[in-house]
Amino acid sequence: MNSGAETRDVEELAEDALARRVYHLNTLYELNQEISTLRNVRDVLWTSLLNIIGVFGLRRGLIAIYREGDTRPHEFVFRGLRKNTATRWFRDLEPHLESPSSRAICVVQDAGDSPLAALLKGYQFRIWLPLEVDENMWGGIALGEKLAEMSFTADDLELLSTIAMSIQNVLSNVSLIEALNQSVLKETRIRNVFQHYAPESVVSEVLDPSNEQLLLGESQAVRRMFEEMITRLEEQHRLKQDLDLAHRVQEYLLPDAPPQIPGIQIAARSIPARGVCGDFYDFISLSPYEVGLSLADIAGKGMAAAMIATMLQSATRMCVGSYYPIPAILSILNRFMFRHTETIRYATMFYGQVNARESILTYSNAGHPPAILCRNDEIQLLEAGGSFVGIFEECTYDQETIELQPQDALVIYSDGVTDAGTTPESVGPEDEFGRERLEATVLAHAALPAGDMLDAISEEVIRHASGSKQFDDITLIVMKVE
Amino acid sequence: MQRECKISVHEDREFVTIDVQGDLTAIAEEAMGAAYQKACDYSPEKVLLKFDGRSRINSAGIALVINLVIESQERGCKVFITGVSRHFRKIFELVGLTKYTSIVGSEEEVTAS
Repeated sequence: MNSGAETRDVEELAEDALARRVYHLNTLYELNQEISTLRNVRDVLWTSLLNIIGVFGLRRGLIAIYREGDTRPHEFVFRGLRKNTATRWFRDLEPHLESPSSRAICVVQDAGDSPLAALLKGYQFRIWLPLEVDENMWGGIALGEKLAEMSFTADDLELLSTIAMSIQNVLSNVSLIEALNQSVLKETRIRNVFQHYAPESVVSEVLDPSNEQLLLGESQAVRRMFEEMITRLEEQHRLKQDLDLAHRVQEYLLPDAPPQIPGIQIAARSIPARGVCGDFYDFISLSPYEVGLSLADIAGKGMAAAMIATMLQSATRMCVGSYYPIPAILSILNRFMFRHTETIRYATMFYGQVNARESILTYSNAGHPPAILCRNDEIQLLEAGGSFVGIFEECTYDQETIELQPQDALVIYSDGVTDAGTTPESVGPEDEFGRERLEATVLAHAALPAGDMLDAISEEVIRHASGSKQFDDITLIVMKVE
Repeated sequence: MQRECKISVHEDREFVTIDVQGDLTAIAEEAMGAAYQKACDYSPEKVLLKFDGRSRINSAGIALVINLVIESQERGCKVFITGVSRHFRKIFELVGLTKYTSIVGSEEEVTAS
């Protein structure tokens, strides 16, 4: 049994880890949004550098972009070092630019005696991360030590790589826009020079005065159209990048396949209402015969809900890993959500742990639709627990332990399942799939293996909702005892 | 919605206060730089960075604070911070800022330190 002080220490460590993860995810999201609105390379580099320095708490940093084949940077920004130090750095880096090592990540602490590592070390840099923009442009990020005097972790490097990916995408877009702008400017300049220097007789011949007005007018109209088109394309590109980023983070966190637990079958599915999902499900392996099952639904929809879902999922994994009792896990997650998200953000959540060796399921339900346990053609609703996660700073939760029997089927679902078929304008429950229909569907297919049962329930829900637009995420976990 | 950032500088007998109203992000870089220069004109031994209690500080904003702290360290000037929420106090701690600054509850604590 942990002492109170030890428990508090562990809880503080867990909170630090969670707060760090949230800070990282927020930075990733905000940086992506912010640099997507910028139109020149220097602004993108500068904003990115500030965010990178802030997210890791660094003493110094530098980002440079090179045109392929050049040894002098096309554009660069730095912070935390003097200008003459930056100039020396670029000069000393020149001999390394042709080496393949400059196109690979270099972490000084792990790089041994490589020449690039030695150079980085001499300038008090700890990391070199290359940026591959397009076939004509590349670059690199050099980062100094942390104020916290800690090494860069695997999580830091992962975040840094994702940030680099965002910067590369934006720079590639910005350089294209810069090139297009240059070509329009060039066309205007040629025309001005021609009108200024060509003999009047030639100008009159090529452009008679009535035509000239017309041509100038056309040229301006084309330019306006071009600018509008660029603005629209940029907006679309930003939205797509937003979705791509959230997708990447969610795909990274979603479990690839259910864990293999002897005597237990598990299957799960999530169908997002819009590109990204405000629901999440997860399996957390606790031992060869124990697994944690979580399913949560974040209030709200779209990108913000998806980011909170990602954060909560990540937080859940960390808490479960510390082997707290389930009510304590939900209390920590609740406190964490309350402190680190806006007040309007909360989640409903079901978390349970299955122990196949002892044939038990222990769970707690934080304001989530009750999971359905189907046994011998009878339904039992799993409702023990407490309030939503994130509404009040302090919440306590109950847990319930159920002895599992062969052929028991457990269905955990988000309200997108029972609400399927309705629309935001629906006034009554007559259109929705509803819990009664869900219970009947579970009973009808309870004899099937977990994967087939999941398919059957999903098909029923989709068939019921056909014709109406899906406006909420649909997420299901099915567990079957063999 | 981001709140506009307004930064002002006040001199006290004991220290100089840089008063930050609103959210601190990359947009505030110039204003923060100018405010710090103005604060340095008083050659203070202590600088208090005072947030309004509701300020959101993103990672670019943290970079601005880091810059201020490093420059102050080089000048031998102590930096104190007040008016940050529990969440940002935790972030300051995580990025190592609390090794070089003191987060205080009131201006009196700056005078007393």
